[in-house]
Amino acid sequence: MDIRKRIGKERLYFDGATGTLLQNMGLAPGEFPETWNLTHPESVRELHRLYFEAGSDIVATNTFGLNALKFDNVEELAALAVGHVRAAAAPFEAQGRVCYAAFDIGPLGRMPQPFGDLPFEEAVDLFARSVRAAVKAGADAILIETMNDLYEAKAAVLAAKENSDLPVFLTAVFDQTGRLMTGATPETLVAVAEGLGIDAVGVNCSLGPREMLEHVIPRLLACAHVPLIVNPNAGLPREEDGKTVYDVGAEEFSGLMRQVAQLGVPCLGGCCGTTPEYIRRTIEKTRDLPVLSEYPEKRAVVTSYAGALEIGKKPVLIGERINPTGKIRLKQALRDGEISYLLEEAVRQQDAGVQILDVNVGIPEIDETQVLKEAVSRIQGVSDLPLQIDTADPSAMEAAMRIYNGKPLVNSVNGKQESMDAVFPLVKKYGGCVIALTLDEKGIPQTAEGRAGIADRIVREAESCGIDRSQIIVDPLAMTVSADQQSANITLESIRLMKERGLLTSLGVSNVSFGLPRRELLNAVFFAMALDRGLDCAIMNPFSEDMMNVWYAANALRGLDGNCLEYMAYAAKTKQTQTARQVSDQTLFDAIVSGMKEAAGAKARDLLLEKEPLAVINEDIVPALDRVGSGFEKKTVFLPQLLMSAEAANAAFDEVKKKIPAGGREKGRIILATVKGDIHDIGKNIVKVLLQNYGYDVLDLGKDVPPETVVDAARRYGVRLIGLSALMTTTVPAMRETIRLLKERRVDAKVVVGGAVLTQEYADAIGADCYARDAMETVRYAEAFFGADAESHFFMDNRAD
Amino acid sequence: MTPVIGLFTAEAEKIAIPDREIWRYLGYRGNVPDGAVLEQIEAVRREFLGAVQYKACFAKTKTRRNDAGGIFFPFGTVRSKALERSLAGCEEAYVFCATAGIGADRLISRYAVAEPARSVIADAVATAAVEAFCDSLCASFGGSGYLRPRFSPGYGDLSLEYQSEVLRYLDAARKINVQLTQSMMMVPSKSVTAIAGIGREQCAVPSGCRTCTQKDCAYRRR
Repeated sequence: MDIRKRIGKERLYFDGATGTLLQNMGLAPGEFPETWNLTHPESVRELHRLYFEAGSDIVATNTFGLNALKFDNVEELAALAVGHVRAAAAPFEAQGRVCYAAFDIGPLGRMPQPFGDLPFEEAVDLFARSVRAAVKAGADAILIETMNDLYEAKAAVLAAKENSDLPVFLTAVFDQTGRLMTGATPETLVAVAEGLGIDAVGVNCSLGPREMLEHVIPRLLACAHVPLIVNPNAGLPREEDGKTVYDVGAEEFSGLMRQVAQLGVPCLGGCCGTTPEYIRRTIEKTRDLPVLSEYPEKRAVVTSYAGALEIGKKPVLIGERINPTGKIRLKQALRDGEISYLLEEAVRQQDAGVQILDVNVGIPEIDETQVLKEAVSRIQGVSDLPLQIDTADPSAMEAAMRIYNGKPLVNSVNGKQESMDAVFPLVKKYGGCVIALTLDEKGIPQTAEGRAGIADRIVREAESCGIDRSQIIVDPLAMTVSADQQSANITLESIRLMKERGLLTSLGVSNVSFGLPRRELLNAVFFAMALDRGLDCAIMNPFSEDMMNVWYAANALRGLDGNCLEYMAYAAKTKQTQTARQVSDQTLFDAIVSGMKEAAGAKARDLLLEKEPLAVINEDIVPALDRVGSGFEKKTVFLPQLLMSAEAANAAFDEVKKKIPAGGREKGRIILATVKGDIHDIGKNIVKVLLQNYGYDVLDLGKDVPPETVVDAARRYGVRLIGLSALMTTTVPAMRETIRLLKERRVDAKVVVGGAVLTQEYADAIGADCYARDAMETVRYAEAFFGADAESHFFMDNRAD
Repeated sequence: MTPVIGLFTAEAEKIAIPDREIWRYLGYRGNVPDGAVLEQIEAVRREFLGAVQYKACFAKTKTRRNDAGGIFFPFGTVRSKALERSLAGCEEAYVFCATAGIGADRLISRYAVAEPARSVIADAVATAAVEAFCDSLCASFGGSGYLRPRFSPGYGDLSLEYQSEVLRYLDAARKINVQLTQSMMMVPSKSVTAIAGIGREQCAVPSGCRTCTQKDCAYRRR
């Protein structure tokens, strides 16, 4: 009988530890347990038999570490492993028991990018090979277990769904802080797993049942809409006479598992340290308990790799700054492949207080799919906020949803059949909440009722695709009030109608003021009115003080800010900034030398009222930078000071850029990259900020950069100076390869190299043009390379926003 | 015999991160940072405490010199003159892996976007922190004998390659989520693998910077 028909409706028991028992049977340290499927078939069968005998319904195959990174013969071992469970089950099935073989899939042992070096799609492929082997071998289900990382779990579940029709179960490892080792909470895991269409979700390993009861299980129960699996360790391990023993015995374990069952967990089993005896006693103590199958109400939850955010509780701010519409500077950054500018916008918006970041990179000149993927991935490397994937291109949307680490908000679908046909299958497959625009083939209705009608149709269509209505967030479209003075009223009335239907709402607030003066005023008041009607999300500019004022004040007034604490903190912070603006009696030179960022910005603003921008650069900023730079070279100034001065100088440059009209001059463009295989880029980042200070336009390709990417970028943008960094001896070969490829492809560029293990000899040996011992040496080399005449013309950004 | 893998953890606040070590990693070579930098260090330290997740796994193993010139461990034979000196007279050793967790890497990356000074400071704080955590782990190893200074792959002539054997032996990927990239870098990056001999008597063996051949390193302890 299909396990899907039973799971969650009746109590099912998993098995206990595999590794622990195999070790007792003689598995040697360092030996892969999976090879025992081939070398010790009787032992493996006996292990499975013991669990069936104890009463387990579902026994996992001995394939935890079976993947193509470690084994050439994945298919062979998979077939044997499933066969062993089947053989062990046969006598019990003969007695009328129903026994299941769950194909066990554990972590790959290599961390996915960006913090590790395993590309996401490679992880999916590795899991896919195991899944296909499992299907071929005749497994009844896929059990993905002991997941420490949400991203790897997502890769595994995707692989399972794409390569089989089998039920897919996922259990992950939480610690006592209630997080996976890479940060995901129980709420996040559940939202992501359910979004991907998991059949059951849960927790295993690391903790004993007591700790799971305390830190994890209640949280899982409060958010899961699929059956839960709980497979704890037998408590914590310790050494006794040279052996590992666990501190929770079978009797205590089973008593605790009874509590787990009483809370409403239908699937019970064990992990490290548990034996058939643990399972037998657990079954004895829980068999008589009724299975509860009530689930909480479904909610709109989006997540990053770490935390989950429920939409609909308190109005959510979605930062709109990473969207090229009307932003010249961002458009230029996208054309130039300057993802680092997007990262700055991401971090700044997060610091300003948004809860979700919109990511839209749609400009005609670029490959949107590629750029959106890269932007999403790199923003997730620096921000733990959920992202809103914002694109009109379904293939870009799919690519980004696929590699997104979490459950995204998707912007958008609309009432056109074509749009729904393109977007809903993606939401169904990858999971996500989706913004639904109330427009269709006939355009945007002029009435609130018309817009509500479209929302109803969108919701019906979503439901027919298997997407719950809770996942739809309706955007009833803010239209410009200058064109039609009823438009704001219609939008506000639409919000009310959506609320009546129990639907969540979102608005791109600033559209309302288009074409009118003092837009921020209109935006802020409209925002306040919309919040009053119950608006759930606003796509907005968090650098607008008016908008932020409204949000904090409205939350306090609407009872959404306990004890008004957030309002008071905000009030204190904004007051502080105003004071800081007033007090600064240093000169700009001093402010930069002492690394005072805000003072430098303020002083530059003052100076620019009386001096020409070029004079400010040449008479104030540059001399300060030179002072600090030469101090660093003489070892009287140290790295943190050098960088603080660089940040202060940047703040001053930002002010100068506001004054200089288009047509400024760049000193030269330089590519920086940390080479393939190297994931440590701190040195490269230091070099970057100093080069920028000295007026260079830096194209930062990031870390773990393949040689081809460096070559392509150098050719595409005609760059003549390239800086490469490598931290370890093991990655210097990749540096050598990059230089070799640049020469082979006849890229006319000089290469300067740096990094902890490099020396002049090493640099010579790999064919570099220059070895730079530290960041200042790179600057000096660039100065010499681009010529002395550049010195007096500092970088003017002609792309003012 | 199957290794007994012990687990060790500590709350962020319980590990004192020595200022002088942070300064050393920042390249101060015995100098004291000025007030503005000290303020930044404190701000970063506060955020770091919210990001760090200390975890370690360890095993007590037998060790002995082979006739063939290698050092025997249950996970394989190690060839290193420097480690041999460190373990002289030891029949047992602790092998361990300790980490500050991926949160430290994330903090460093986030700062790198717009606050490079803080990024560099966070890197130094995290490095000093994981070393301090190792001290705390080593102090927790009770029992008879004297613990020798820890010795890590990459020190002296002890090849980085041994990292993979140590991590596999300790089941570190599963136990504490420390993994290796193909270029032998540990993820999370603020992680340490090390071997510390257990001697029957106290003796001074060269350790840390003194075993390193890179004499002009900016971080060298003096």
